[in-house]
Amino acid sequence: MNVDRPGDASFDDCEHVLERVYEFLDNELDAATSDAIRQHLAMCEPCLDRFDTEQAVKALVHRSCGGEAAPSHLRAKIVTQLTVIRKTQ
Amino acid sequence: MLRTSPLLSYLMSMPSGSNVSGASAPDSDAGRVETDDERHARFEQDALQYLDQLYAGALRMTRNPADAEDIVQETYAKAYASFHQFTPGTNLKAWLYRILTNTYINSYRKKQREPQLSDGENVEDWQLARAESHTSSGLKSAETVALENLPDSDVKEALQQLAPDFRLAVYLADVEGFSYKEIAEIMGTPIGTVMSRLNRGRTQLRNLLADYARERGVKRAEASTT
Repeated sequence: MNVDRPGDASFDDCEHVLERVYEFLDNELDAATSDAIRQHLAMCEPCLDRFDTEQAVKALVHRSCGGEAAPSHLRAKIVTQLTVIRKTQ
Repeated sequence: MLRTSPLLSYLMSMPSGSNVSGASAPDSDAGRVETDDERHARFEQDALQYLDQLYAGALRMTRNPADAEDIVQETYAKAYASFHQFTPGTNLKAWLYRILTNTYINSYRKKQREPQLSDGENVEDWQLARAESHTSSGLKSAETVALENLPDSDVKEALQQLAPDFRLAVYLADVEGFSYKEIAEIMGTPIGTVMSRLNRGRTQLRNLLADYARERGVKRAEASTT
């Protein structure tokens, strides 16, 4: 079985592209590598679909999983606590 | 009611290995030492602005409001007491998240016993990537659309089901937008571990969300035929 590791890959190969899809999505790749992946995505619809899905999931988490405001009593408790700690220092 | 335990726990254990900002603060006005009053004011102004974000992050970690409040309060006590170690101009939010994460792991997670998805540590990443070849796992565009229509509650619920390390890595990357390097510093792991956690966490999340989207699609279809 082929056990090539990523890194020395050319991006003609879907598997190598998909291995780096998250790094691509997270802006963690250098410009040249990103361009190579972008070129592949432009030519390969299955990979583009997969990229779209991953991007949708990332956007979904961003939209849905943050944004709760701390209750106001927590802020008050922390401010009081800081004052108490300061007096004891 | 005021808790004193955050201070005690701070005194007993400084946050370990705070790489996010390990160096002690260089004084910007050469030779002038910041007064306690000034530092107190600076902490209130700079650190408290992240309260909502830290609380939301703590909610994802603990999965309930009471525990989230406790670890956020403890985090601020620790951060306040070691604020002199924070280097002004570096990433304060990441520094606070680092303390929050340590607090969660040290004082809370040990006692937490809840069912979670296996983290699949015995599966190598390359095997995962191979199993992920697009013929087997790629969702159709119609399914991508269905994903985008999922309500926030489904997405939160799906994220909650991930193992804690996966959940936090995904949260820090996708909600907070931290870089891999920052996440590595916050979680105290090598970047390779961050990438592996993101890879596995997102794979599980995508499958869970696809299930939710399918269930909702089936329900809609049933509703329209009756």
